[in-house]
Order: sequence, then structure tokens, then C-alpha cells
Amino acid sequence: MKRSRYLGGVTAALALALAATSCGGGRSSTAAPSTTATVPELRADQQVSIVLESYNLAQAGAWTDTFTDLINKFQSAHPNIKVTAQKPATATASGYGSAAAASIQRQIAAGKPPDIGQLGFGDLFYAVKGLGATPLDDVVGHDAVQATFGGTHPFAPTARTLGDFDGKTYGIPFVFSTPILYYNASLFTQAGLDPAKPPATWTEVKTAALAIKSKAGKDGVYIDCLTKKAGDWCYQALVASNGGSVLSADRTRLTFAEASAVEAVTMAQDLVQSGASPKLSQEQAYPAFARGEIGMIVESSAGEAMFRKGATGAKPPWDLRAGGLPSFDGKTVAPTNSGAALVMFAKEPAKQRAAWEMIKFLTGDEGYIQLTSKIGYLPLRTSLLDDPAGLKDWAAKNPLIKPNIDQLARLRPTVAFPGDNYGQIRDTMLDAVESVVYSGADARSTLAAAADRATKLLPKT
Amino acid sequence: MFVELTATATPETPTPVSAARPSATRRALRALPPFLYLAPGLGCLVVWTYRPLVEAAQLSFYSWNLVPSRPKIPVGLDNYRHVLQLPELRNSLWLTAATIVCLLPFTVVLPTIVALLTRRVRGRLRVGYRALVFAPVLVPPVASAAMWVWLLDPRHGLVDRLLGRPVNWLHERGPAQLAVVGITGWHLLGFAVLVVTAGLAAINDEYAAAAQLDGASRWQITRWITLPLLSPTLVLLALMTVLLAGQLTFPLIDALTQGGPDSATTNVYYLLWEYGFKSFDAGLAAAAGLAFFLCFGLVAVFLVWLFERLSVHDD
Amino acid sequence: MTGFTVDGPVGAPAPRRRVPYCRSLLVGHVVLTVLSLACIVPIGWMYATSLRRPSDVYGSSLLPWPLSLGNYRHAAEVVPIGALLLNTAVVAALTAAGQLLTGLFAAYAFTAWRFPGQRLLYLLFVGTWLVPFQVTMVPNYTLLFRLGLLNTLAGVIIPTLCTALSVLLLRQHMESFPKELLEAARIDGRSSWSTLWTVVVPNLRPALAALGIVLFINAWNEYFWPSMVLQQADSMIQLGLRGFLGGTEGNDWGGIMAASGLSCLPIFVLYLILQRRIVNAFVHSGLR
Repeated sequence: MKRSRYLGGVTAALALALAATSCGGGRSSTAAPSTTATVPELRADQQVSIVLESYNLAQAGAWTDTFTDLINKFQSAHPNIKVTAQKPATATASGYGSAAAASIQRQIAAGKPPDIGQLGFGDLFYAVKGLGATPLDDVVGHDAVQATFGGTHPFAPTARTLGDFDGKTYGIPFVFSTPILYYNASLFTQAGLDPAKPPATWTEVKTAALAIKSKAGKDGVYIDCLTKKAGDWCYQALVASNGGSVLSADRTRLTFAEASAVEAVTMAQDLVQSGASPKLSQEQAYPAFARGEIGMIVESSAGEAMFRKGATGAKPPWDLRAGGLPSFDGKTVAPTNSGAALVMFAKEPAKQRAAWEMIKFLTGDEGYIQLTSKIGYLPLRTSLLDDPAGLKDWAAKNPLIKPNIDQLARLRPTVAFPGDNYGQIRDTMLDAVESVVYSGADARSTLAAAADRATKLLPKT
Repeated sequence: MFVELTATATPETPTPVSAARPSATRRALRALPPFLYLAPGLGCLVVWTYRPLVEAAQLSFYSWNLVPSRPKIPVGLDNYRHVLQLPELRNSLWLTAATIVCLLPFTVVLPTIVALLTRRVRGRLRVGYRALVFAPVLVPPVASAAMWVWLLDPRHGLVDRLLGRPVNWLHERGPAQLAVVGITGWHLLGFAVLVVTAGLAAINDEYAAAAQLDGASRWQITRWITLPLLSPTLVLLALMTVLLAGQLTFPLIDALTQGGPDSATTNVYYLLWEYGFKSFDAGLAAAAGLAFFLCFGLVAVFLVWLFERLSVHDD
Repeated sequence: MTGFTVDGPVGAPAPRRRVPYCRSLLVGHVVLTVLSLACIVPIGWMYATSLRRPSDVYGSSLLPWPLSLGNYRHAAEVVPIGALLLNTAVVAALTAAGQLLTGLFAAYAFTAWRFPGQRLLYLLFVGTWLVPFQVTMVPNYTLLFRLGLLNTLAGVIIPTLCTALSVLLLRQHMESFPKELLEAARIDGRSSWSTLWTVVVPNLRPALAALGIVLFINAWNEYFWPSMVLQQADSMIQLGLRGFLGGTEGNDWGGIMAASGLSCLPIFVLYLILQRRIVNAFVHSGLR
């Protein structure tokens, strides 16, 4: 797995270089064997209808409005393609994101999956192995896929290979963030801390948090990475930043109970037990930070719009600033990625081609201009931030994007657990983490017991 | 309600109540009408409930994720074994039992008190009390979840403002368990009051009148006449609580705590949901569903038997 | 239907115990008032929050002042509340009507005849309560797809057209119905069909009406099944309300409380108008 990833990276880089010089004419010999005929282009009068399923459509307000807008723009540029947008079919009221893969599975069982699905990076492995996602390389050819990563505003190199498996690209990264330390600079001033200098290590975080708690009378820090609800992407960043991982490189062994992970969780537990971090759930911490009641929060940039609204709307307004994910003393930070990729499930050639056009559009310049400026996701085509026709003006007004962009360059891909039970493995792990951090269970034994249970859920080989 | 089987369970004669004995075809024709009337409802049940159940029974012996291109692997009883070996199964069963016990005051004790008290109140006031107590029954689950998250907010919620101290209801073990039980009870109380009121109405007043003539006090009448006569209704309510507690609390747990914190609100139904129904292995999901159906079916049979033994009072 | 018969001699106190009676009545009122408040204050708080100005949603007065419809306006901007309410009303009405009809027929079959397998068939109806929703959801979703009913309101309605509740309750009512009437109709030479509509239904009208309301409320409050079937656009009020919760912009409590308030308002109104009927139907259903 590791090897193919690496190869994928090499081919991606090569293909990109080629695309940049000769418009994708040549092909690297290291490329995965994808000599299959590609799907023909649509004729101008060829009517096709496709279905796009996105969990962002389940949320009223900015999410739905931005998506509807983008879809309308696509429709007017491609009058022969009719797009039906839908949200996941779900039997739960908690979290549409986690229901996305189950919804696609149901539709495959019924006989017709959506042509494009939006799936979290943790679901990607299952989408390929379990749900039979269509390799984009087989539809339009390896070169064309790599070419879309290029363009005037090319994709960040670290993001390009996130949707690759076994040398083929299955998903194009779409909505995206890395973990950011947002902080309330006004509270920093009140607590006698330097508002221009966000804490860079967890030790500094604890000191700052306790200062805020004692001098400003507010809560110190909330790390939104340690509950089942938060998902595991950000927890993986914590563990990786301490030199650990949650899954062995050969994807056969769970490693989330090993020493470096235990240490990372113990750090978080200490924050809670020392009073530096409040015992809150995700949905409580989000708005509490926005109201200026917590000094710092580690969060995806999807929350930024809300924080900004809270900061400017408060009386008096408070100063929202952002820094990178703090490090463990003397170790390198390994930021992971949240969010989702667009994955193709279409099987008919015409629909595949239409779906590809749609994917290209959504992950193109226009797509990112909208997603970044209206929702707060990271523009994976980073140079848009320097383009006056792109997001330059927006970026000038929103310096908060900077740490996120910096971390994008040092991205560590979020790992997806293998097998049909990957969701249960993830939940088992996070349940244990939650119980250590917020209920004071013993880190080593609790994580070890969880790893034992979760190992039984791994696919039998 | 559904335990009223005794009435129809009396001798089953395969003909209309008063029928002669004509030829076989005519007899068949004559036997047809009830089945014709049953057809729409039964058809609906068969297609939308029992067909899926049978499908699930078949699926439960395979490991398959429903995707046509993937193989359907027969695994014998493995899926059932898996369900029975779920981690935390014991913990969740214990929690389910505790939840049921804590719900009983809301579904049996309080409703009895309310029903006994309201019937002594007259006119508009009685209508008013009943309307107020019944109102929570009408609140849809999603609205209820939203409302309670807001009410239980640790800093701005009404509950903590009234208490005067910040309890983080949904994120601490004890308070979260209390919250789930309390909110479920809040939803069920009105319905249970209605059922008890109905039960009281069905009690023949002559017993009480006779006792009063004999000089029995109000409390004595309630204790020795009304309550015993009411016991079948109360057992029925207890029975519904036992059978439906898991399913009734599901939407709330799903929306409010997701089984947390630290699995403190993971009851059996939610555990099955987390590991079984939510699993991509349709075989495991089916086994979880069937295990649930069978276990609670047995519990139901036992309770009905108990109910029939206890309900010999009236008539 | 002339109210209750609950207040027999028990409700009429003997004069000699007037004083303790008054005291116990007072205690009774206190208990009832406390419970009623516990039941209604959460709902009241929801409406209070929704009627505050969007800027002072965190206010603490029980009666918001000055009143503002700002939160409602905001909610209506984000989701098309009117259309959602209308759709939900249509679904709930048709579902309730269907459930009444299937229940009526089945209950009639169970009471007017004795036939082989009666007990088993009755158990089949009751047993549906034990089948978890999660077992039926995938096969039913697949079937709806084959029927081409996904993303239609019909797809929401059709699988729920029969419910054990209506069969059980109506059977209770019919059981308490004098058998002689049915017998007389039969001797008159009426068909069972005409007996049903000319003898049984007119006598059951109050019960049918009340049960209809209960079924309507249940259908109105249904969330899981519609959220499986209706993936495209918001079509029912519960789904629209769900779209409000846990957004990236955080929980806008004013807007959420306004949407929640609107989602139960029609039910509250319906209940207030028809309260007596609902209670009576239950009381007279002979729920023993």
C-alpha cells in the first residue's frame, strides 16, 4: 500500500510536469497500467442526466446555498447535462457525513447508485473495495486526471494523491481542511498573554489555557478531536504529531494503543484534569468558542465562518486569530486532512463522462472560489489566493487562512481503516479516547482493550 | 392493548357464528369474507414488514454487503455469535434494565396519581390539566431533541439557570442518563395518563359506591378497590415500557448523546444500531435485527402470560 | 359522546369529610400544577426563545419582550416552511386515512367472524411492533426503488398504510359493540359490506375521528422513514427542521426554536380544538 502510494505520488508529479509543458501529451512509463479505452466526450446535443449526492446538501443555509449555486452555474455551462442533487438517505438524526457511505451502499443494493458521491477520506478505502467505485483513470485516462490537478491554479501537491488506491485515482479531494488552533486574542490580552504569539507546543497550550482560566475567568482550550462525534481525522493528527499512527503501514495491525498514542491521549487527559480544558461535547464547544467563552479551540476551518460571525457579532467584538496545530515538545507536527473527496459510481459511459465534467467543475477554480469564500473550506488550488480574479481580495481580508495553507504543504494523509467494519473500528477507538480524556479512564489499559476489540473487527485475511 | 387476545382466543369455529352446513364450495365462499376484509391490511404487513423480516432471516446466515459485484459468503451462525459477543453487551443490557426501572415512575406511578387526581377536579380546570400534561406527546422527536439541547445547554439553558449551577447534562455520565430517562418520561407521561384515565373509566362505579356506603374512606377506596381493579391497566403500561423502552429512547439517544458519554447511554437497541444495523455487513445487521425480534418476542410472550394471569379481577 | 362517566360517587364527597377533602384537593392541585408546569415549560421556553429578537436569544425572561418575528423570518428564508407544512399535512392526512381504512377492515374481520388462524393472524398484526425499523428499511428502500417511488410523497405513504395500533383500537371498540346489532343486520339480509358501512361505521364515528387524529399526529411526527425516502430537496417539515441543526454556522437557537415551534404548531392547534374527542376516544376504547 505504501509503495503504491509512493508510486502514485511520483506519477502524479511527473504527469503534472508533463501536463504543464506539453498539455498532457506524454506518459510516464511508471504509470499504472491503464491502457483501457477512455470514455468518449459527450456530443454537444447529447442529453445526459446525472445524480450528485452530497452531505453538504443536508444542511440548510450556507452549505446548501453554495452548492445549489455551483450546480446552477455548471448547468448553464453544460446545458445538455441535467444534474439532480440529493442528500444521503439516512436513518439517523446525528450526522449526515457518517451516513454518506451507507446511503450509497443502499442505493447500490437497490440497483442504482448516484453517479457522484461525496465521501469522507476515512470512507474512501471502503468506497473502492466495498462499493466498487469507478476508477477515474479508466474513464478519462490517467493523463486527463492528472491534468485536472494542473491548470492555471494547480492542486497542492500533498492533496493530489489522497484519492489514489493501487496506482489509480478514485476520488478528487474536494471540501477540505487541516486542524487549526483558533484562539481568542482578546482573552489572551486579558490573561496577560501575547496575542500575537499563539502557543506552538502543547505545554505552551496548557500554560496559556490555565492563565486564561485564572486571569480571564474563561475556559482555556477545547480540542475537537477526542470524541466519536468529531470523527478520527484530527485525532490521527495528534497521534501522528507524537510520532505514532493508528494503523500499521501494511494496514494489517491497529497501532492506536502504542506508546506514542497513549502519550498523546494522556496529554489531552491532563488538559481536562488540570482544568485547562472544559468537559464539553462538540456541539457545545463550537458555539461556546464563538461566544468568546473558550480561549482556544482546535478545529477544522469549516467552523471558521461561525467563529467569525460570533467574534464580530459579540458585544464588545473579540479578536479571532489562528495558528497551526501545536506540536509535542521537540517533534514535528503532522497535520491531517478533514473533509471529503468526490467519487464516481456511474457505470454508463455517457454518465461517466458527464460526471467527470461535473467533478472537474466542482474541484475547479470556480468551485474553490465559492467553497472557500462562502463556507471556509481550504482552497486546494492554492495559487487562487494570489489571483486578483480569484481569492486575493478575500485572502487579504481573511488572514486566518494562512496557517491552514502552511499546514497543507506538510499534510499527512488521514488513514482509512480497512474492511467492512471500518466504521465500528473507528468508533471503538474514539470511544476509548473519549473515556480516557473526559471520564478519566486509564489511558494505557483502556486503549489496549479497545485495540483488542477492534482487532476482531479487522478483515480476516 | 394488544394483549386482548383472550377474547378471540375462545373456541375457534371455522364458520360464521350462525351457519348451516352446506356444500364445500359454498362453505369456502362463506368463509371468504373475513379474509377479504383482512387482505388490505395483511397485504401491507406482509409486503412491508414480514417480507423484509424473512429476507433478513435468510441474509443473517451470510456475510455480504448487498453490493451485487461482491460475493455472498455463507457463514452459518457466525453473525449471531458476533451479535452475542458484542463488547459492552452486558453493560448495555444492564443499562436497558435500569432505564426501564427508572421509566416506570413516569409510565405507571405518576400517571396513576395524575389520573386519580384529575378525575376529582371538575370542568375547565380538568380539561386544562389534561391538555398540559398531554402536550409533550405531540412534540415531534426532532423538535424535541432541538428543544432539549437548548434547554440543557450548560451555560445558557433554562434548566441550569433554574438550578443555579452549570451541569453539563449531555456530556457527563450520570446527568446524561438522567436526561435521557427524564426526557423520555416527559414524552410518555401524557400518553400513560390517557391510558390510566381510560382504565379508570372502565371500572364499575358501583364497587366504590358500595364501599362508601359502608363508610370506607377515600384513601381506603382507592387503595383497596380502585387500584386492584386498575392493576391490569398498570401491568399493561409496565409491559409497554419494558417492550418499547429501547425503541422509544432511540431517537433521543441518537439525537442527543449518540450513546455517550463513555457509553453511559448505550442501551441494547443503540448498541445493536452501532454495531449491527450501521454495519456494512448486511448479514450482521440482519442477525442483530432478528436477535432483537426473537428476544423481545419472548419477553412479550412472557409478559402477556403474566398479564393474563393477573387480569382476572374485573368482569 | 357526553363526556366522562368517571365521576361517579367517588367524585362526590360526603359532606361530613369536607375539611380534609378540601385540604387533599388543594394538595392535588399543587401536584397537578407542578406536573403541568414541568410538561409545558419546556415547550413554552421554545416559543419564548423563538419570539425574542434575534439579538437577545440568550435572554432569560419567560415572557419575551419586545416580541419579534425576526427568528421566524429568518427560518422562512432558509427553508420553504409553507411548502413543507403543506406537504407534511398531505402525507399525514393520507397516511392516517389509509391506516384507518385498513384498520377498520381488519378489525371488522376479527370481530364479525370466527375463522381458522384468527389468533395467529391477529398476532401477525401485533408482532409488527417487535420488528425493528432497521430490519425493514433496506428491503423496503429497494422495493420502493423498483416501484419508482423513491423521492415521492407516495413512497413515504404507501409502506406505512397499515398499523397495528388502528387494528387493535378499532377491534376493542367493535368488541364492545352489541353483537345483536350485527346479528340483526344479517337476519335482515344485509351483506357484510353494507352492515359495515350502515351499522358499524356510524356507531364508531367518534372513535374513528379520534383515532384518525392520533394517526395523523403520528404520521406528522415521523422522521426516519421520510428521511430515507426523500433525498431530493426538503419535502417534509421534520426534514427541514433537521437541516437547521448542527450547521457549520453553529446552532442559531432563535431560528431553530422558530422552526421547531412551527413544526409542532399545527399539531397543537389540532389537539386544542379536538382535545375532548381524543381523550374520549381513548377512554371509551375500553383499554383495559
